[in-house]
Amino acid sequence: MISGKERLLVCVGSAPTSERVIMTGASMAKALSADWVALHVEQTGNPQTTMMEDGRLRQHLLLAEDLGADVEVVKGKTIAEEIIRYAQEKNINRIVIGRRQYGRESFLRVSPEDTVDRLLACTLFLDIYVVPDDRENFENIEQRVTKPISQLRPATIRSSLLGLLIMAAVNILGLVFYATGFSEANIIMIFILGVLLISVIGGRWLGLAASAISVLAFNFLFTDPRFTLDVNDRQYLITFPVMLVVALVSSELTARVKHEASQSAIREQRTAILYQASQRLLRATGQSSVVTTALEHLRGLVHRSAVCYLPAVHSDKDLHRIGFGGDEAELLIDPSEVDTAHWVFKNLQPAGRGTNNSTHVAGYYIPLISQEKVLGVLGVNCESEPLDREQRSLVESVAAQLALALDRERLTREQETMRVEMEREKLQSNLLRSMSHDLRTPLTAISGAGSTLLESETKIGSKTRKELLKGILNETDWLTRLVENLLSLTRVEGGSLSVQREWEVVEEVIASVVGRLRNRSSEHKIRIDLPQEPLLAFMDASLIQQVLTNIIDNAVTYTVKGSQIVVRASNDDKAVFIEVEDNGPGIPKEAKNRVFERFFTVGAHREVDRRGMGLGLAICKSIVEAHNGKISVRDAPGGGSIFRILLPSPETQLRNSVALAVE
Amino acid sequence: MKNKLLILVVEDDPPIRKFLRASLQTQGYRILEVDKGRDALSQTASHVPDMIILDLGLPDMDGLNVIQDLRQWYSAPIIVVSARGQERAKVEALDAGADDYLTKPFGVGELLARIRVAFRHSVTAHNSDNSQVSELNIGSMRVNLSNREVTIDGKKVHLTPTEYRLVVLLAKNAGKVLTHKILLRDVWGPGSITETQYLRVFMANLRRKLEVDPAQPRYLMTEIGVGYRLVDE
Repeated sequence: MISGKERLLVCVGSAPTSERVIMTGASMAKALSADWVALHVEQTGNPQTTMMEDGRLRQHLLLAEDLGADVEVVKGKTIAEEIIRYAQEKNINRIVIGRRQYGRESFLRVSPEDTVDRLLACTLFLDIYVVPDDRENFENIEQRVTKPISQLRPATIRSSLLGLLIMAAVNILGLVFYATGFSEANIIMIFILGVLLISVIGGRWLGLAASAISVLAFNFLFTDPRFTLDVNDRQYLITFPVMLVVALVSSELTARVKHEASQSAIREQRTAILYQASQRLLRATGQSSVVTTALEHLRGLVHRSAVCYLPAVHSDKDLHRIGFGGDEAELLIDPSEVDTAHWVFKNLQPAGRGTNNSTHVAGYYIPLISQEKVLGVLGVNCESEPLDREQRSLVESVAAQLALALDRERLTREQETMRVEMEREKLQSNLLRSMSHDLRTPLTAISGAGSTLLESETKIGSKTRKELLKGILNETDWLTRLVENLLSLTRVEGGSLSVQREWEVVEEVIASVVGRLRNRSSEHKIRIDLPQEPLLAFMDASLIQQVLTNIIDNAVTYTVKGSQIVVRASNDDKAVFIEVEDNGPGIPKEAKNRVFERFFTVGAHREVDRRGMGLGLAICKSIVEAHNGKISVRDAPGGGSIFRILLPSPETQLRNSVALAVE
Repeated sequence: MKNKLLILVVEDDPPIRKFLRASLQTQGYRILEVDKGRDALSQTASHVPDMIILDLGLPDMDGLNVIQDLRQWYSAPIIVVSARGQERAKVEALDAGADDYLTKPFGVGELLARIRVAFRHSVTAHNSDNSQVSELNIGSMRVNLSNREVTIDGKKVHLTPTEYRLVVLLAKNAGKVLTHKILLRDVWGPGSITETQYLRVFMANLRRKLEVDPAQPRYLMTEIGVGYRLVDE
């Protein structure tokens, strides 16, 4: 915990002096080559700050951050105590603080004692550097001028009116009590109750005013001589101050409780939103949904549109962007904004509005870092105004959550790629194994026939010779089909890029497949059933050709000569269907679920002269699924089986093209 | 034997060259063999063969560039040979001016048929003026160019003007594959060459008028991914 570098604590507040304090702190830190922390203590009992003070504090903290400080905000009752506690915790022994000669607020403060005095009194082990204030008077004038304007908000007027009403009611009630002969104590209680109510509604200042007015009103209305501000009874000289003090204290306490309650309500709400965000981020799956969730929450928290940059999938250099928050987000597409985001991604430092990097842009950009790896950049639109301290810490916490979620996504993705990779490797080794096995058979046949022809050229009759040559052709045919299947497989495995879909006329595809298979299927009857009108389907024709070739080829292989094969095409609103029906023996029930698996073959067909690798239908399935379609098999009514391919159609284009072509 | 036709075979695979030589020589063609694109260009310039059979996958240059270079001055038929999966290269070669294509593996019968068709077209293109031909006959289909009439088995087929233009274009190139791009350009004009979908529906309608069974056509064949071919009997 003890770092080699010295650390400096600079106390920052909303007072104009703070700017000088920060500058002094920064140059001291530089001179000492020390790290420095800008600390602001938010007083829990502090009177509500004015907008101007808030703005100044924000500027100060931003300034400190720009000058290289770590900004910390702590909450506490007394500034001095918090400073000391913080310094002790962090092992800091040099403190820079500003001193106000006299201040507007000093007499209102609960602890009128000066913070610097307190610090000096409390600590023996700290070096304290006090920066005097020389612009105090000037600033004070400015404050006095601006303050009333900024305080005259509609809410204040409304609560003042309400306060007046309460005061009036209290007076009337007091008069009623007086007429009924109740004791003065009761009337005083009524007044204090009124002051309490007004403090609750209108806050500290109205409470103070009400305290004063109630004392005067009591004096005026109820003490002898009545309806004057004179008093006869000397006892009242005690009663009035006590009454005033009681009213003051109770209004002060009420106001403070109220302020704290509203503060904690805001904090609670924010915590709730952050919690909700983290919950939803946990549930979100997929990078883009994670990002959108985070951006949506960010919008809920700071009411800004935001963008997120993530590394593009295929390159480490490019970032792609996800925006949220409607048109406003579009403002962050300026090239300088994009450049800033890229800069942040590279340099791992916040940049943009409110930082000291690329201050000219409208966005505030912070890197999303998890486990020392940069996963992206979060940008918040600050075009209207920079983020305040609180908003900034909210953005930071959302960024942290987002980074965690993205990291989780990255891990999931990595696992998934690993799994796919393993599966692919397994498939490849299976494929190689069965290929080398299955290739051996036709190759043996070819080389056997070839060598026989070559060596016993003259000894064999022309009939045998012809048979051997035919055998060679058949085997090469089979090898050709195998190669074509493997080619389709590599295309489908290559992903969506290599599947090129176009609108094709179904009958053309079917006709070309049946035409090509005619030689092999000359002893089977193939019928083609098509609707009257030309049917269009969105497909990669060469791949669907492969599917139909495999299915029809299977039907030819697994049925006896003379069997009938029907190829049918139909459609509805959503899809095109192609069916291949045969009247062969059908597929056994237990095999039906597995025919589309890789390396699955129905064993009992040795009488058929062709062996299969069990790849054909698996490839069909991959191809059809790459078209977002479905392939299935069922029993034909009269025995045999029906293979059905479903190809979904993006329908609008289909309709248009048909309409166009009708002259 | 000066009247034997000379074919230049551009192919880098020796076994395929061997089988091409054997089958073409038995058919009475003279053969010139090269295995590189550059040699193809120089040999074509010095010998001016009557036909070129060109493999698209050459070691030294893209077959497509060979065609483009040759077509600057050379007008005799070029038949390209490509492997399956090279659909795009095939279409580009045809669009660049190749006359026909063969996909590996191909049979001798297929090869000889393509050669015959290509020679016939080059002969008609050279010897006769197209405007003098008044009738085209393909099987039982007759295309009468003077009174713009198409009959099948003597029965008149009613065609729209566009369909008629398509049939004439296909019939004049009977046996030859015409790419989508060429059909669209020649029938609809150069502005429509990307509307292949449009062409497909037209073809499907035309097939319904010309064929008895559109699913098992006799005349109008589809070359998937490439174009259409009107059979040449």
